[in-house]
Amino acid sequence: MGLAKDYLDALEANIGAVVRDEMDRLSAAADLIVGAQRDGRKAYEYLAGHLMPYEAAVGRRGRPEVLLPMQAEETDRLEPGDVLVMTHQYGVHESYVNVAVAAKARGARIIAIAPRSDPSEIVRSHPTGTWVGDYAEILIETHIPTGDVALQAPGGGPGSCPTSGAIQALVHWMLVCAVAERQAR
Amino acid sequence: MDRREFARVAAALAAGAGLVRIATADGPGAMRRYLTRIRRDLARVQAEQLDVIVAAGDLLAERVAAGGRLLIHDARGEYVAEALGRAGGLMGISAVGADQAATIQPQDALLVIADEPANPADVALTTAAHAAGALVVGICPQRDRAGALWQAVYVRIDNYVTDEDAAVTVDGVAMAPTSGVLNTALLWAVTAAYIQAMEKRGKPPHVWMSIKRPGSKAFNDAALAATREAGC
Repeated sequence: MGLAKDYLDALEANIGAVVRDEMDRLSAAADLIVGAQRDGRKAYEYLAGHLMPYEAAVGRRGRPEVLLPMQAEETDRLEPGDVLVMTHQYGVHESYVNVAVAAKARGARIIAIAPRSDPSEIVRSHPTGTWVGDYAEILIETHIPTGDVALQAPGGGPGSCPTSGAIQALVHWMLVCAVAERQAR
Repeated sequence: MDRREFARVAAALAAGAGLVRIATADGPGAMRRYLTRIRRDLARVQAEQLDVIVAAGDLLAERVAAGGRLLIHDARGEYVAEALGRAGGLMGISAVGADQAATIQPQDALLVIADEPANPADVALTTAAHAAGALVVGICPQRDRAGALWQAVYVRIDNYVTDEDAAVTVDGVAMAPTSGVLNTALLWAVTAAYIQAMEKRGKPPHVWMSIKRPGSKAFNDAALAATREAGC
C-alpha cells in the first residue's frame, strides 16, 4: 500500500516509543499536577504549535476542566508552586523558550511535552541556546522523527508527513485522563 | 463474579461499544484505556481502509495533475492549521472557508475533515463543491452511514468518532476525544498516498522543510517558487 501504510506504520512505531519510555513520566506528571492542586496551587497548560491550540481549546468536546488554559503573555498569573504543562512540536523557538524562562522565574514547576533533539539538526533560536527541556521538572518526550517527517524522500529532500500533531494530541489526552482519574480518587 | 471480574467484563463490553465507562482502581487506568482505544482505531484504519486511502490520494492527484487546486476545510480550523505551512506538509494546498464555496472550480479537489457527522457548514460546502464539479474526499464519522456529510462526499474515510467523541469516562465525566488523533493520522496518510500518486505522474509535490532545520530558508524559498510555477 506504499507511502500511506509506511506513514501509519511510522506513526505506530512513534506511539510504541512513547509507550516504551514515557508511561512512568506521564504518571509522575499527573502525580505532580494533582499533588500541587491538593496543596492549593494551580495547574495550567500552554499549548503552542499547529494542532494543539485547537485540539485542546476551551469548549472543545471531550475536554474536561482539569488544566487551566494559559497564553504566552500570561505568565504573570503563575505563583510559586503552580504547575505549567507546555507542549510544542520542537520546544526550541525563542518565544516558546521565553515562556519557560518566565514561568521558571516565577517559581512554577514545568512539565514539557516535546522531543529531545540534536542542536546541530534542530536549530535552537533562543540566545541562551537552551530549549524547554532545560527548564522542565518532568520532560515527556514525543519521540518524533528528526525534522518531524515520517517519510524520507527517495531522492533526498526534506521528507514528508509529520507525526508530531497526532503524538502531541495522544500524549496530551493521556495526561488529562491520568490527572482526572487522580482528582476523582 | 467478583468485583474485579465484573469490571473486566464490563470494560470489555463498553470498549466494544466505543466508550469505556468503567473507572475502578482494579482495571487499567484511564490513560491506558485512552491509549488502547487510539491504537485499536489506528489498527482498524490499517485493516479496513488502506484501499480507500490510496484511492483518495490517487483521485486527488488526478485533479491536481490536470491543473486543479488541492483545497482543505474543517469547521474548527484545527486540521487546516495542522496541514498548512508546516514541516513535512504540502506547499500546494490551500484552505477554503465555509463562506468561500463560490470560489471552488470544477477541476479542484477538496479534502473535508470533520469531527461531527453533520456540521451544517461542512455539509453546505461539500454539497456546493460537489455541485460545482469538484472532487470531495471526506474524513468524517461513518457511524450508521446516515450522517449527512458521509452521504455528501465522494470518497469516504471513516475516523471512527463516536457520538460522544470521548474515549473514557472518569467519575461520570466523558472525556478524551479520539477525533484529533485519528483525523490527523488520516490527513497525513491521505497526504502520503497523494504524494505517491503525484510521484507516479512525474509531478512530485513540494514539501515544507522545518524552519528549525539548517538551510531551511533557502530550501523553502526555492520550493515555494517552484510550487507557484508547477501548481503543486
